[in-house]
Amino acid sequence: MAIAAGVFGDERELVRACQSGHEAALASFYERFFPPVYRYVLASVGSREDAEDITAEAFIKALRGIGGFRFQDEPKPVTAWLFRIARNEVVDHFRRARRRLAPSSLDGQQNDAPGRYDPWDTRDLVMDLSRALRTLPAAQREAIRLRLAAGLSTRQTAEVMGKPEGTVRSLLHHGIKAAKAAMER
Amino acid sequence: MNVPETGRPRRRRAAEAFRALDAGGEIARRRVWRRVEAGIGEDQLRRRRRLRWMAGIAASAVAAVALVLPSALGAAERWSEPSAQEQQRVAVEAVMQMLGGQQAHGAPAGDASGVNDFASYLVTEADAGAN
Repeated sequence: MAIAAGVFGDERELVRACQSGHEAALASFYERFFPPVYRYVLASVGSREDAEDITAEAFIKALRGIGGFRFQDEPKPVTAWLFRIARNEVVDHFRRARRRLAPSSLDGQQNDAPGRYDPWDTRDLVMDLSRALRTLPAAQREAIRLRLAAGLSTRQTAEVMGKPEGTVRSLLHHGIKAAKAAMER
Repeated sequence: MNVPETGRPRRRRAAEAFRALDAGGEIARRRVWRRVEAGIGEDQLRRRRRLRWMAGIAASAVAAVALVLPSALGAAERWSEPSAQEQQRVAVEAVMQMLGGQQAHGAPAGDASGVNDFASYLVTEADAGAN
């Protein structure tokens, strides 16, 4: 099945088509949600290889479980549901990595090898971003990943996090300051 | 004029890093899709296999029921059918009730054994006549 162009304008229509096993709808769902989910995961783990693994796993789980998804009263609940799946995958990834490696080697030490580190290579930039975000308190880190990396609106970020929009704004304000300080010192 | 990479100010690193999230995104999108597609395909294959297995089980169950049902029904019928002795007893009781009702008008009560014998005689005669 080739990736189809998005023919399902309405999100509800798209989800219902996915629920009835419409192949083009599954592709369209992926098309629509891949960019924000991938960016979110990449900002979380810092490695493109791991981000691809985790994103694939998150989409397989989402499309496998979409039959059980029910629309409630929220205007865009699919985003919140999908990002919760992606977040759980990220958490699982770090849990597995912690079990596999000593804590000191968690942050991709190969980039720190002398003579190899290039601060402006995009790989290193992404890894730096991921590391800088990991120094922040969990709520600030999550708000930045969702709002700035995934590109969700403040309202969607609040939906995913289950927090009021005002709280998310405050988390973003403090988080961005701290992340800039961590990356630019 | 090209600014050497090492000369770029660190103050833009955070913004650059967010932009860098998009680098190679298109290749990643296609690569990840292939894996998602394979994952969904595997699921569909597994679901189809499970459906086939369930259909097989259902067909075997229907065949087993079709095989067992006629003999089970016959056994149940035989079990629920009253014996000849039981039929005789019920008929004698019915005749006794009829005779008892008539006796209440003419004969003295309590002479049950004579009525019983007469009822048995009537039922036996009726059976013999019917056969």
